[in-house]
Amino acid sequence: VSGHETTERIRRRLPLAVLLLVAIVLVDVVFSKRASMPGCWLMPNRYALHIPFLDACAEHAANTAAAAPDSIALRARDFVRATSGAALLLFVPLVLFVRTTTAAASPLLIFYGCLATLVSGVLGGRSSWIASYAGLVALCIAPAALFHLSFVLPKRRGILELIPQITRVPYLCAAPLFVVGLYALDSKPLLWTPLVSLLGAIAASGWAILMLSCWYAIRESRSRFERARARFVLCGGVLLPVAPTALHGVVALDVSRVIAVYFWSGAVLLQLSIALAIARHNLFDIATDVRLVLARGIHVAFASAVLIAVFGAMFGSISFGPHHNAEIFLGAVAAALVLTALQPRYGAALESVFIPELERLRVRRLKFERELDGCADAGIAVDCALRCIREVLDPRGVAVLSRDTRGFRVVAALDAGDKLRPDVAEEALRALGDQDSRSLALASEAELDAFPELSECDVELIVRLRSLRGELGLLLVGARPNESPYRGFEIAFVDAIAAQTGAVLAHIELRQELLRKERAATTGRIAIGIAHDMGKELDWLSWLVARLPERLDQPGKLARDIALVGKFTKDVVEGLRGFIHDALRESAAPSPLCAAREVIELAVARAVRLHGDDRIALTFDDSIRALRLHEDVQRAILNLLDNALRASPLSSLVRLSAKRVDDQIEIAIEDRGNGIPDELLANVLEAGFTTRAAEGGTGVGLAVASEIAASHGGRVEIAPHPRAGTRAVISLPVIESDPL
Amino acid sequence: MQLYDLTRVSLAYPRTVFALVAAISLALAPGLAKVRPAYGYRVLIGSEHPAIRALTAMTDKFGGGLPVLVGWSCEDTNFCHNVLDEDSLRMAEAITRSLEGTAGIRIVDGPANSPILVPAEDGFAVRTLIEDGRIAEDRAQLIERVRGDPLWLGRLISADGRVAAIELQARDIEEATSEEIVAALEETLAPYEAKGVRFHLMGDSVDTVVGGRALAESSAQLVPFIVIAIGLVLLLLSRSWQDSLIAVATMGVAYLWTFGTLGWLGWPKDGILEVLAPLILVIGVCDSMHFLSRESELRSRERIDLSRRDSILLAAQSVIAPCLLTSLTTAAAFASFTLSDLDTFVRFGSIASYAVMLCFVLTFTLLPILASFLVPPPKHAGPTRSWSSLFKSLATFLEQREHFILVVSASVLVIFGYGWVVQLGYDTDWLESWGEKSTAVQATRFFSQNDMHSETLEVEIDLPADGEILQPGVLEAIENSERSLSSIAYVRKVESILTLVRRVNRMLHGDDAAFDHLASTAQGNAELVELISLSKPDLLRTWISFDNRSLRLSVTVEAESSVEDTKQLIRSAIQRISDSVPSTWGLLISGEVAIQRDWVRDVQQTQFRSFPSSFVLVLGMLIAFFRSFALAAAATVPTLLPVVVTLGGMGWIGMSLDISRTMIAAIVVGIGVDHSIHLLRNYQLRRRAGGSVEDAMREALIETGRPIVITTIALALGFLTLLASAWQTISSFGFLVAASMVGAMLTTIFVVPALIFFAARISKGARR
Repeated sequence: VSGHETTERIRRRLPLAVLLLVAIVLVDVVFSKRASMPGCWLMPNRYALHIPFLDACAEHAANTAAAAPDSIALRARDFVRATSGAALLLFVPLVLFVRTTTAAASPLLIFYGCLATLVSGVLGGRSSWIASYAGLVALCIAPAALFHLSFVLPKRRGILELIPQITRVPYLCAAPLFVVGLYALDSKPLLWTPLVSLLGAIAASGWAILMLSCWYAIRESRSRFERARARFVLCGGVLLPVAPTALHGVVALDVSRVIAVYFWSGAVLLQLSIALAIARHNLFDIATDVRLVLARGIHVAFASAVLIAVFGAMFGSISFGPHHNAEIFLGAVAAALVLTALQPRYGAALESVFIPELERLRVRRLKFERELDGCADAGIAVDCALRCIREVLDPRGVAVLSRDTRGFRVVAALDAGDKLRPDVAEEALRALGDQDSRSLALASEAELDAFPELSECDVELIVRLRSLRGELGLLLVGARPNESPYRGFEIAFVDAIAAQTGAVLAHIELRQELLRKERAATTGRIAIGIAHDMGKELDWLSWLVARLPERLDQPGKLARDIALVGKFTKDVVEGLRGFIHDALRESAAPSPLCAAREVIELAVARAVRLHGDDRIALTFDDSIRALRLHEDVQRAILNLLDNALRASPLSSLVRLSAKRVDDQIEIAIEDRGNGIPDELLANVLEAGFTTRAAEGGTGVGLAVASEIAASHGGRVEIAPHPRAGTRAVISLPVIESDPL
Repeated sequence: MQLYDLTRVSLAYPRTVFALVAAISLALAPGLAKVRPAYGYRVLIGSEHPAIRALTAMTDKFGGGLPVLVGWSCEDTNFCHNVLDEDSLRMAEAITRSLEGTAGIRIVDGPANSPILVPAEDGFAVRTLIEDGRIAEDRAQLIERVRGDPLWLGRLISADGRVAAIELQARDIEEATSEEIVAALEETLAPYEAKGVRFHLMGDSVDTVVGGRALAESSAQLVPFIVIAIGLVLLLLSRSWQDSLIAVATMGVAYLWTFGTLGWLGWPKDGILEVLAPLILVIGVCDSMHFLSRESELRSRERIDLSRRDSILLAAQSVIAPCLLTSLTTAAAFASFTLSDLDTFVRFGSIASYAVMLCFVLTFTLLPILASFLVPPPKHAGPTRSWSSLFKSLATFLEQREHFILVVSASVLVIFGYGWVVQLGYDTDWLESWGEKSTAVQATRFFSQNDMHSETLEVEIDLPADGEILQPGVLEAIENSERSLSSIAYVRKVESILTLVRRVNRMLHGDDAAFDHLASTAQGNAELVELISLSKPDLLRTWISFDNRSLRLSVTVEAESSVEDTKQLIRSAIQRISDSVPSTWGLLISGEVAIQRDWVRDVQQTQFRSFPSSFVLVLGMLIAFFRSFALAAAATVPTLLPVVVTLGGMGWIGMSLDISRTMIAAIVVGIGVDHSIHLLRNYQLRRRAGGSVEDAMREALIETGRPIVITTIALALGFLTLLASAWQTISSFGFLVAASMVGAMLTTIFVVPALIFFAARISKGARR
């Protein structure tokens, strides 16, 4: 533990140490006198470190008596030059150090810290003792850092698991060389050349070991991620310096200098390939990235050109001279605004031109969306997703596994063979960790060893199927037959498909849940309806039966009341049958059609009968003569009339009018009651909402009316009457009578 | 009779051994007092060397050829304003007088007493700036004259008149003479140095003493550093300060015996022998490390508690054979230097091989006794898990990558072999060897900057038995030679009797520059020589012999020319003189420049002889030890590869082989092979016990890897302490040997196993 703590403590202080080393040289550039020309770092032992193609440096070193010009301006220029050099070299390693947890970040930072120190010293052209010591430290540590780097790239070596401290060995070996360097700087300049050559040879060996490790990783590693990373580092390390070397070689055909330029530029550029190799997502789709950048660049250039032309035309000139700063500023602001606005519309199109695969994926995704549109079956949705993925990625197999209380089970699979077992899913779940998706092409060899089942099944992509309601299962995508790993945008495509499938599955589930609830609600509504509708008739029945003893002496009335009791009893029985029939009908065929007028009149008759008075004024328009209504609309009208009659004073009428408006039939019921407060209007159609709870109101009548109207494609609207009271309107689609 | 009986008997009779060691130590201790440092070519090359004999003969004949310059300027002192002002001249006169009484100095020629030829009514006169103890009244005119006098310019005074010098001619190149001259100079110059005058001394006699003293002082200071470094490494290995102490003490006895023997033999401690002490301590302790490491490991591994004595005996039994072989190979490598023509290498080779064997004997006799008296250090885990893991991983890696390692090794061998064979030069740049901080080097730079040089190529021209220099045509032929020599690169000036003759001729003609040449007739020249002889006979003494049959040409060469340049210069000089003079005339080349050429040639030959012979000797021993040519050949790889890389690398970076660095190859052969002997011996025993190639090598690596690494660290640190030496060349030697040791270690643990795996695979393939 203490070893880890020490390592961590060292790691935390590393940037500070590196920056301190560079700062020593930069401070020296500011405060010490110019000892030589820029690009030439004259050591106290009369040897010089210089950029490879600066011949004059050697002459300058030989002739130390030559005075170098010095002034504040020159110092400032040298400082800027040296600082720029250091910043250029340190930027990427520092970003990697701060933003990543990779083990390669530390040695990379150390190496580039040393390189930045040397480059700053060379560019600064100073020669003080303190800076020379800093340079010596950098010279000695840089090769050690390269060796350290070769311990962790392209993969973390197994020996590090056994002896983590082994990474310190190169730095310990640098210590005696530093002592040699101290002698070489001071009293034994003869040692300088062999020392620097030895350090160069050690650095070259470290570089060679790194490159050879990459070579072997490409050939032997089972992890595609390690192979890709090795390929990056190897190509970057070997090929990147070729361009500057070739350029220099054209100028000067000096073999030793060309080699020097190769190694110098190799050292400077190595960070790029390592940075790309560390940033995992770039490993497999760098070509796409390049094309993407190209597309965006063209987009920006085109838009900028247009804007410049526009602003040029506005200001009468397209040449940006010293007096056109305002134009440039305005142009830049406008360009930024326009680009931001245009990006979603044209940027994607332009990218599709450069990356046709993206367009193909986009089209396929739209097709997938269409396939899922209106899909009410989970199995179909999953099949669609699997087919879509297979069509685009051409994997060896693709499957969806869902989890329930008994564990994982394969829901659907394409070409997956019989390899897929639930334990694969368990392993996949472990491999996934807390991520939503993972490409096993990015797994190291050690991780692959930890997931043997996944390796055996050739699973490359693992995506979590998730909806708003939680985890649904896993989507496993096999590797391609040709082993080429899935690229970033392909992984993003699968993620999107998985997300969409998850959403659709969640929707389907929600609908089923709603149906279940609807059934439960229907049952409840039957009960409430019975209580509501039958209650009144039973009240009447009870009242008639209670008065029967009084009618014994009035045979006429007794006979009428007995007839009424028989009728009400029959109505109650029919009503119950009707409710049962309606409840059954909700899941079966719609209620039969009757003439609109007949339905309305029946409802009015029932209302009159229920309330025992005749306060209903009925108005029919001729336009409804040939129209029909579903029989159950009668219940909706009845409920509205019941409410209106209850709300109206006994002295006032309730008006019912029916007419055709375009392709709708409107049945309006108006009362002259107290009306409904505005704030309650929005809730009156909800089941259970009532303002008459104290009078035994159930809050179901309007809700049932609304549901009946909705079930026939219509609606109920409750609004205050313009003068007083309330106006309820049932609007239903017109159903013409059969002409025959 | 077994080898380890040496240890067994020692442990059985500790008092006898102690008595013996004490007696020998007492006998040899007085020899230590006799060890004296010695410097100069005569010591290094040997008095019987033809170059030394030639130079001695010439200095005897002419009294010149070994110049020493004592220079000063008045720019950084208040003592004088001008090097030819009164104070400066008085000082020069006092110094001249003082030095004239020194036995080791033949001639002292300085601004105060050097003759100035001036025209006179009766022909010419010989004047000096101080005459009869008084400053010459016409000093200003005389000073004006000397500024155009070739006898003064570049020798006694610089062209710009800022620097003056007194030139001494040493009597011989004996080390005692050089010491005497330096002592006299120190004594004479001290009062003026106290007054602020800074003198610069240049010349072989002074340089060797100054450089040698600095080396001796720094070497004496090195020993404590080495003891501390080795003690620390031993402490790291054994984790017992007592074991570390007894190992260092044993090496102390070896040191005493070696230097006692050196003193009794009367051999001087010259520049090369200055590295002997570090070598004894560093190399000698390797056997102790293997021995103590094995002993500690045995105590840790054995389940039963071994007594210290038993563990010592078991350890001796285990490692004495490879240690004997490693000591023999190292001794053989040193002994190969005895094939050199140079005395210093012969002495070094003999005494170093003797010291190595002494170390071996004491390690297995005295050390066990001392160890048995001490409480054994607590058990520790032996080779720790980390080391085992490391070497296990290494063995696995080597099994997988044997081809790659061998291909890389072969490539390295080719690239660096080319650098060795084609690029490596042989040179001895003493200025570089001594370093810029040496006063001798600073003096040389001082004189070079003022265009004053003291390195000369001396040419002696002997006329036939009936010849005489004043015969017609002789001086003309010499003049032709002079003229042709002057045009050779790096030649500053050529002086001879003709310089005087021309000057006198000019004076005789009223200092008319048109007469600055020889007389038109032989008779005229003879008369001019006669005139000089009559006026100041000493003037001729350094240029022509008493019998007038030999004359001397002194060719002053730029001090900073390389040996390759010098070689070319000598070849050209011989060729041009031969072309200018009749073939019957004798020609003898001598002087510092010629000696240096011979020195470099012999150093080169020493390397040519020592490396192959040591390699063959070592190979022979290995074959006898392993009784297998294949294993012996594999064991030599760790010696060959580092040698080739080091020497090839030196060639590629332009570093030449000089007096110290020429020993690198043989020493690396001798020491570098030790690691592979231990590794392959262990491997061989495991193979004989029935282990597979892979298992045997893995186990051998695990068992011997740690001592190999730690011994290498000790060796490298020990050799790195030579960085503190005053001589750059010895520092570079230490650095390069240290690097080679690390290279040898890397080759042992990487290339040797790969080679064994490869050979085993081929052999399996062939059997199939």
